[in-house]
Amino acid sequence: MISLISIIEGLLLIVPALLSVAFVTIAERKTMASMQRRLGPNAVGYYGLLQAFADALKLLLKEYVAPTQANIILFFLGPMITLIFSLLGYLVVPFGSGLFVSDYSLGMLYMLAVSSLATYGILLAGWSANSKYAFLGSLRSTAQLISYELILSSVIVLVILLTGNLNMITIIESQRIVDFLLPLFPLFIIFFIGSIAETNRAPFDLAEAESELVSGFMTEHSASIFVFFFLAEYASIILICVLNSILFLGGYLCIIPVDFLISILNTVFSIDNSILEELFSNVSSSPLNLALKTGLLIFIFIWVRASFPRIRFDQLMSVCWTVLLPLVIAYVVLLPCIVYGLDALPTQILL
Amino acid sequence: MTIHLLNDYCTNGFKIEFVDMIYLVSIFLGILTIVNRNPIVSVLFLIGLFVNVAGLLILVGYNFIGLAYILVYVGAVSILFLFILMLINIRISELLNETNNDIPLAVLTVLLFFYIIGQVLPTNLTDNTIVSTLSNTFSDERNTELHNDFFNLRDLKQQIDYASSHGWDNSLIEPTHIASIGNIMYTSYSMWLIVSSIILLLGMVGAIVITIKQK
Repeated sequence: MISLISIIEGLLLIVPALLSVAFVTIAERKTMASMQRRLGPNAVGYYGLLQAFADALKLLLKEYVAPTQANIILFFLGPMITLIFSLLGYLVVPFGSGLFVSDYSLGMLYMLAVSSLATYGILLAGWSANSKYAFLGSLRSTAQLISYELILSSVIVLVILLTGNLNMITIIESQRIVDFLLPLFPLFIIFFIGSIAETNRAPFDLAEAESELVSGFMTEHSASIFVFFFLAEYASIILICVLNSILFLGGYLCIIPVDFLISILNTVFSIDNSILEELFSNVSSSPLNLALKTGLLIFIFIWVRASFPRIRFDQLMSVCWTVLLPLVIAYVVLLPCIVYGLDALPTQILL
Repeated sequence: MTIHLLNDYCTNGFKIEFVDMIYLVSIFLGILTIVNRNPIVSVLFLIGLFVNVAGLLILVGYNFIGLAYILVYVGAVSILFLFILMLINIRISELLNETNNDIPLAVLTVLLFFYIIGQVLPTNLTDNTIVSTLSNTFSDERNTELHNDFFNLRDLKQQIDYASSHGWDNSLIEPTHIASIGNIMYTSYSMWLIVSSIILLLGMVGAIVITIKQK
């Protein structure tokens, strides 16, 4: 019975994650289309809503082609590793108050570890294909991921300084008074830039720069294993947007200041607030809040892709090591001083 | 009485035989790391070994150390290893070197290690492991078992042997290892923290000094 429940739990997490991946791909295509004054996909389903499923079906039915000189085992192992590790991060995400698969006390550390493992898939896929475009793409991608992971983990350290705990739920609940967006706004911008680079998205998508390398590390991959890469890319985009909203936008906490509104209604109109309070307490920590925040961030991802031209690889690296990293290190020195000076260190609650 | 002492390794952690299996898998992966000719494949087996050891640590209950193992060794060090191995061109002649004559030496070293360790470690709690029974067959001197008429420990041994810290009392209050390590490291042993950080700083400055261009 216990094993059955755990299987159902996993399915309840993974199936919606994959469905949201499918719809994010359509959202990207439609948004980019309207930004470029095109129609975008509109044939399959209403407004082209089922386009992603048609594409996936087409890709799954295609014949897969592997290069003759490729290392076949690693060639197929790479996409699988990428997909598995980009989906494993969803394990510790709290979607609402009390809605989680695992309330792991080291959730943030787990997420960092898992996301650092996803690099292997890209590295292996690029190397095993025995093609210089794929290999160059994977080397670029790995260098980029290693460099930007440094920034992401330093920013996470600063957030943890304010929460005093690595647990995801504690990180969210300590933003009840004010979201970390307010005290840490520059860090949020740095983290967002870092997460765009970490997911290999435009304008930092040098791993699959079409004009230089054919399609980057997945040049030789086709059919179903290409679907794996595709799913992994969008799953990691959604995951990192969820992470952004958990760290800085307050996760599942309500966007509207509920208590304030209730008190205004109470004093001005003298309404019996029992029904309202019931309603607001349901809304205030529902998964819809997290969904809205994440959706907004994903839209910004797509917006950035449509707006900015791709930058050169050396520019990317020099921005990371000479601009963003010194800023973050300065913050690592400054913020503990401020927190200590205000005597605002978080208390350790051992539960 | 016996109903309360059921073996519930589904919810109460893992039996010690699972840990033995992980040991065997990691020994297998270690051998594959040495035997393989292709350096990249051998580094991949090394990464498998790291992940395996991290899994073992997490199973036994050292969550933080296990995750830090994955984060540092697998996520950072091994990726740099692979990265550099993929970039350099390794000559075929080096790959064809005969390495088989080192295997007896490796086996001898491992046997000696287990012989010494098996003698030093207390054997009463770990009597069921394959390693300790193997080492006990060679040496009987430290193998003193507790025989007592009042509380027969041999019957209770089955219940003690869960190799995990997932007891029911841990879910009431559980200070994480990271908090415990931090509490010790930043209070009593802060001097050692400062010393180790200076060593790290020296390493960083040394690397910069070596690679800097002299005009």
